[in-house]
Amino acid sequence: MPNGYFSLVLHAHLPFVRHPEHPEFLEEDWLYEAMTEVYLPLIFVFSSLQRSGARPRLAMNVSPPLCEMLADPLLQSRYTRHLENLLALTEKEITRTTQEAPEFLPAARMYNETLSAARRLWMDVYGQNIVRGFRELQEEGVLEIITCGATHGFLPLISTTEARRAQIDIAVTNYRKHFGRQPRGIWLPECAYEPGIETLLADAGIEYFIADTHAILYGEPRPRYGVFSPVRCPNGVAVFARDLETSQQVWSSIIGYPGDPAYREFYRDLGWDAPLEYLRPHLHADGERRHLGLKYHRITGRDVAQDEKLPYDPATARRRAAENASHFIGERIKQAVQLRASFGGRPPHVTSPYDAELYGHWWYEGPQFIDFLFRQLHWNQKEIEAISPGDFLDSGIAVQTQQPSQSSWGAEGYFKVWLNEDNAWMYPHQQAAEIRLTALANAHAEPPDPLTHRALNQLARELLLAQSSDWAFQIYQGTTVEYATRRFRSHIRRFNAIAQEIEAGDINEERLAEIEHRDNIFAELDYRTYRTR
Amino acid sequence: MPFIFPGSSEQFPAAVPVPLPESPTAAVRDKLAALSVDEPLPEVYAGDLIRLLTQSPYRLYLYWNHARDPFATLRKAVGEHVASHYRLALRLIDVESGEESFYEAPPARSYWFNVRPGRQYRAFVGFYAPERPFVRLLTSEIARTPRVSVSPLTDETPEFHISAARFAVVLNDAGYASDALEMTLEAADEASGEANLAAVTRALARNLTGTDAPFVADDALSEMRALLAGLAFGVPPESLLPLLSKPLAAWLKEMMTLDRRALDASHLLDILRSSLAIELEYDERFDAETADAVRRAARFVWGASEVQMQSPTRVPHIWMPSMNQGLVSRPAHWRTTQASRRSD
Repeated sequence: MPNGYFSLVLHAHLPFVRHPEHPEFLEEDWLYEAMTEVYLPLIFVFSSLQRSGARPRLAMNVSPPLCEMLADPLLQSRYTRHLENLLALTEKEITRTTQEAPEFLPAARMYNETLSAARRLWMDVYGQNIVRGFRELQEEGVLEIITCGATHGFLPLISTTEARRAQIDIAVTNYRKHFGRQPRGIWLPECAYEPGIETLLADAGIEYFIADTHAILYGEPRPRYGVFSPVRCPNGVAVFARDLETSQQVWSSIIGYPGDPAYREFYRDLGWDAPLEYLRPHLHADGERRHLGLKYHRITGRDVAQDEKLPYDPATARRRAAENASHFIGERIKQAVQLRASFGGRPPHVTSPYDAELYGHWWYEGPQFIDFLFRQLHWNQKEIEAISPGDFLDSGIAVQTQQPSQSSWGAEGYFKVWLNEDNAWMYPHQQAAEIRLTALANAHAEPPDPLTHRALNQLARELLLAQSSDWAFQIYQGTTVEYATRRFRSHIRRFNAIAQEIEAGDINEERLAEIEHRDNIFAELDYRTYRTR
Repeated sequence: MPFIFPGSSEQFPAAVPVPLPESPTAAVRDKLAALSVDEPLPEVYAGDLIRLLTQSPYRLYLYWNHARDPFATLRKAVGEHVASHYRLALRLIDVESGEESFYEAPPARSYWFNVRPGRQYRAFVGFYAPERPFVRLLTSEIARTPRVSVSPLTDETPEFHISAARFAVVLNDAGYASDALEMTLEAADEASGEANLAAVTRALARNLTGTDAPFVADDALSEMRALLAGLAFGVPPESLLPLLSKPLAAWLKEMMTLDRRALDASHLLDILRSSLAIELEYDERFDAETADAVRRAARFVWGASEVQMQSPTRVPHIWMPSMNQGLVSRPAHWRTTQASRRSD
C-alpha cells in the first residue's frame, strides 16, 4: 500500500461558441487555440505516456458543449483552416528569425515542430475528431472521463428541479453518445453545490462529484480526514474536495510554478509585435491584430516590463518543467507521510482539480509538466499512487458519511461571481423560461406533430444555452461583457419567440430552421426531459 | 473558469456576415435569429414571480414580478382611501427565530438583503401600513445561507469520531488556518472542564480587551472564537462588525471606542503565544503587501475559496504544540516553539 493516493482531475470546458452566420468569428478562436495549445498536446502526452509504459491515471471532464464543438463538422473544418494558417506562419517565422533574429529561432522551430505534430494527430490519427482521442484514452485506462452540466449551468441558481435535472440528464445522455458508456463522476459546473443536488446525481446514476475544499471541511458532521479522503452524502453519492496546497502550487502567481522566469510569457505575442503587413495573411478578414499564439519571450521576472522580456528558450523551460514535476512529487510524498502518520496509518487521498486550459494555454509548459509528473510518479518512486476518484471508491477503503456544505470554487467560495449587481438581471428571464418550458413539456406529453416537436426541442436548446454559467462569469469578470450579454439575450429572445409560436400553434418553420442551424447543440435532445416527474 | 483570451469581437468586430453554403436557409436573416442587442427583453412576464437566492453567507437576493398592478387590486379590495395608507414593502423572516424585518420595495423589483450565515430565510412582498396587518402578495421559497465555519457536530461512530484538538490539525493541514485556530480554542475550552462557559475563549477576550465579553449561548461560542481568529489574522474590526450577532457586535464596537490598539493582531498573538503557546507564521516568500492580502483572506470573513487562486493569497500556517503528536516531520518554514501544552 502506498503512503498516499493522488488524483489529478482536469476540467476541459468552453462555452458553446459556433457562428455559422459568419465566415470567421473571433470567439471561435477560443476553441481553436485551446485545441492547439491544450487538448492536442494533452492527448499527445497521455498517449506517449501510455505507450512508454508509464501507466498514467487521472480523471478528466470533457464538458458536453466542448464535446459537441469538437465533433462539429463546421468547426472541424474551420480548425483545419486555422491550423494550416498557423503552420504557414511558422514556416515564414523560421526564415525570418534565421535571417533577422536568431535568438528567437529555437522558439520558431519549436512552434513549427509542435504544430506539425498537432496536424499529424489532427488529420492522420484522429481524422479531425479528437473526441475519439479522449475516448480511446479512456478505453486504454488512462483517463476516467467524467461529465459536467449539459451547458455548464450553475445548478444552485437554476430555479426548478426539472431544469436542474435536465442539466444532468442531458449531460449523461450526451456523454453516452460521445463515450459509449455511463459516466461515473461529474464535475459540478463551477464546483457549485447545495444540499439536494446529490439526489439528482444519484437518479442519473452518477457515483461521485468534485467540490471545493469547504464543501467537506464545513460539512456535517466534521470530516475525520478533512479533504484527504472523500465522503459520501447520506444518499451514497461520494464527494472529492479540492486540496488547497496542490492548487496553490499550480495556480498561485506568487508561489505557483507557472510564474517561473524561464517559462513562456503569455502576454507578449507575435500578433501584436510584428508589422501588420507581415501578419495580414494570417489574420481574420477584418485585418485586426489579435493573439496568434506565437510568443517568443519568457517571463524573465515578476516586475520586468513587457518590452524588457528576454528571449524564450524552450530547452531551459523544459528542464524547469521537469524540476517542477520533481518538486511537486517531493511535496506530495512529504504531505502523504505526514498525513498518514496523523491518520493512524490510513493513506491520505489528495484531489487536485484544475481547469484543463491552465495546462498549455495559460501555462504553456503545463503539458510537459504533466508528462514529467506521470513519468516520475511511475518510474522514480513508490510512495504515491496516481489513481482516479473511481479507483479510490473501488478500493474498499471506508468512507465517512457526511452532508457537505453549500459552496463553489469561485471568488470567496460561494455564488457571488455568478450572482451580483452586474448579472443579477439575468435570473428572472432564466426562471421565466425554466417554468415555461416545463409547462410546455407537461402540456405536450407526446409530440403533437413533427414541426412542434422540433420547436419544443429547440426551445430546450435555447434555454440550455442561456443557462451557461460562462455568460454570468464573463460579465462579472468584465471580459467580453458585450458578447456574453448578447449571447444570453439572444437565447432568451429566441426561446420566448419559439414558445409564443408553440403556444399560438403557429410556428414559423423557416425561422425555426435558421435557429436550429445556428444553435445545433445536442442533436439527440428530447424536450420531454423537462417534464415534471 | 472559462477560457477567455484578451480581446474579443467587441474590440474587433467580425467581418460582414456571409451566408455559408451549407446553411439550409441562408437567405433568411430574421431578426430573431440574429445576435441583436437592440430589442429589449420583456419587462414583465405573464404570471407572478418571486425568488429568494443565496449569494453568500451574508447576502440574499430577492426579485419579484407582478402579473398585474398590485395597487389596482388593493384599491379594488379596500377602496381608494384605505389603499392610500399602504406602501409596497418587503418582509424578511428568519425562519427559525421568527425575527423579521421590513424594507420599502424599490421600483426595480429586486433587493439585496444583508443576512447571517447558517440560517434559513423567507421573503414576502406585500402591502405595509403602520399599525395595520401586513398584506402578503408574494411568498418566496426558503433560502438557506451556508455556514462559514466548521460544523459543531462530530461523528458518533468510533471510526470517524475526531476530537476538537485533532480536527484543528486536520484543518491546518488543509490550509484552513483560521478555522484551525478556532478549533484550538474549542479544544482548550473543552480541556478546561468548563466548556459551556468557554472559559479559555472568554479569558482570552478579557486579556485582550480588559473587559468581559458578553455572555453568549452555546451555539454562539463558535462566533466568539471566530471573532478572535479574525482579529488574530489581522482582519480590521470594522470589517467584522457587520458579520457579528448583535450582542457581540455591540461589545466589539464598545471595545473599538475604548481602546482600539487593544484589538491589534500583534497584541492578540502575544496573548495566544503566552497562554496557549500558539504561533502564527506567514510564508516568508510573501512581501508585506502580499502578507496583507493573506491576512485579508482570513476564513472567518470570506469563507473558504480563493479567487480561483488568481490573487496572491496563501493561508498562513499556525503552529500549535498539539500538532506534535503524530507528525513525522513538519515543514521547514514552520517556526519552532519551546512552549508545550496538552496534546490530543
